[in-house]
Amino acid sequence: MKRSIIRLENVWKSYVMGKVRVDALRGINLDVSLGEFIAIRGPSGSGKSTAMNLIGCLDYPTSGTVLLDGNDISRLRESELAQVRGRKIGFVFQQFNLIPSLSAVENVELPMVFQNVPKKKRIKRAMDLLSSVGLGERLNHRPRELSGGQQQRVSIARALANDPEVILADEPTGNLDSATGKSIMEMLISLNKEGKTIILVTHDENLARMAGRVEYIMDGKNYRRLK
Amino acid sequence: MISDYLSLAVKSIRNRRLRSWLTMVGIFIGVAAVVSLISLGQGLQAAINEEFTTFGIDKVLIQAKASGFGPPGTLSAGKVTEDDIELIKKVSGVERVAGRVIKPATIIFRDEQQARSIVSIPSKPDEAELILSSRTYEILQGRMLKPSDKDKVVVGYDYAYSKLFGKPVSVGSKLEINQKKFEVVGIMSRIGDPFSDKAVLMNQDVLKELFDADNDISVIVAQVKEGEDLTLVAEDIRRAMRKDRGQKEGREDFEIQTPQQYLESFTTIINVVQAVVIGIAAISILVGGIGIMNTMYTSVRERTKEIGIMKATGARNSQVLLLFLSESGLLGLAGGTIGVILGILIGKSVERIAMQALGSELLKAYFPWYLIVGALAFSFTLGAASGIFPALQASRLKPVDALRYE
Repeated sequence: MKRSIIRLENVWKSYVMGKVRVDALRGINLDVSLGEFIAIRGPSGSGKSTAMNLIGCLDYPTSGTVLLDGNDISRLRESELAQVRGRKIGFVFQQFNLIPSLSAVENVELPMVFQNVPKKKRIKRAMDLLSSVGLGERLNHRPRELSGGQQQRVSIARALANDPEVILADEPTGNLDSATGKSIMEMLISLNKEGKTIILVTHDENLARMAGRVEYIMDGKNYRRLK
Repeated sequence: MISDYLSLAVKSIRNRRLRSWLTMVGIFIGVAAVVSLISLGQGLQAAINEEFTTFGIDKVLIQAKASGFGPPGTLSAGKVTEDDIELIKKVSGVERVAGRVIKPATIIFRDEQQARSIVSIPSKPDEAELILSSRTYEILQGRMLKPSDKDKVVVGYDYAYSKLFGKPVSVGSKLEINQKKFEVVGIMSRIGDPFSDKAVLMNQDVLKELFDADNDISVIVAQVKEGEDLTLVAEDIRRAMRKDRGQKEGREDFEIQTPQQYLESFTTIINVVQAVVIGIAAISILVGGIGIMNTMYTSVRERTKEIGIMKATGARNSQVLLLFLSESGLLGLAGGTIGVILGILIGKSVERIAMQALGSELLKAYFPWYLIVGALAFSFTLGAASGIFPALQASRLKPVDALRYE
């Protein structure tokens, strides 16, 4: 059995809206092993986004345990969690979420700034990563000077900046045309072959099928479905 | 690695160029005001110190205690007379003594009439020399009065060059003073104070005769011997005069002024003026600080999503805090830098204007290094301080909420 990198044990997440308590997650269990490619599927309102926030260690559970590489995140303070998250998880968002005032290189550098990587090393790695996603010519372009596909490739390079074990991709092709979307998916697949753990959050059945395993979330609970 | 945060901050400031400029206006107006005013104040202080050194720090002035405003000797409660001169001469430590008489008079030039002051030059040669030795009496045209001159006068700079009368007075012009004709033999260089530049100099015996004055004196100048303590000699003069007049201490009808006192009163005036204006400038700077705070709050709100991205990619709260503090600090520093440059320009312009208008180099802007460094350090600190609350707000955002923000 491979090492577990992210593990959710009976995770509940509740929000209080006015006087009403809403349980977005009602006892999710999930175990992601190192090197796995897993898809999380679910219709909108299923609690999929909330689950993604917890899998990505962006939020704390109301009850239950989230283990990141064996460590209970509830025991980490917000800033400690941010540091660990920055090293272990790279995010790829549907909206790309690049910083508009920074160039492609600077966007890729940013996660390394927060890990105090020396400037020279940072720039070299950012340039290498951008070259590897085919943007060696666009290093100093701002996000608004890049196409959607190019922006998403910058964000993949950014996700890889600190060489994390896990890439968490939330609807990474949602804002792209099908051809571009396909190339992004191919990129994720090849990253998985290189040993990265990929967690793909999507509502798209066809995309989910590319993963080695699919978790289906509905009404805040997960049902495992085999491919 | 603060430099990383500073460079990120610079990019963010540049990205919002117009707003950044507007934000800085408040700071730089205030800083420019403070820098220019302090520089001019410092310069003025230095100039006054120098002026006193050249006038002579070895002289004291004795005059009747003024009971109101006006030129010395015109509105006095007590009197000083020729007798006092003789008395002061006997005080030990006193080198030379001279008396001067100042009288208001009606002057007519080419049918135009004006009320001006006539100032005497002592008739005794050694007394005249004491008065004339001070730098303020330089002749621009013609010559100075000789002791034998009876119906001759020397006029201040403004008579010839400031259109005091409709037509300029020149050497050889005739003035009618108290119904008597006088010939102008000399015109003085510009002194810089309005009283002296509009005064007419006349030999003392001629003036006394003209005004039918007894032995009243407007002001006595006493020079102290080299090596003597000016303050102690001034005190001795005071005691001698008090004894002569039978007055009690603190109830004298005369006053003795030493350069030290003048210096102190000038310094007090300059300090008060500076304090008032700097107080006003401080309000501008405060408003500038609030402007920075407002901009930073807006910036935090606009960049909520960016903050979420940063946190998702591993930014600690302290790193977000540092980033926003660098940004507001830099806004302050940039505003301060522009303010300092502007302040220097204003200071130098005022200096130039003053030089042309007054013809004296009295008002020289002076920029000590601590003023510049202080202004810059202050504006950076102000900027950073104004950013504290917005930056705290930014650093405390939850990554999930911040990412969801549109």
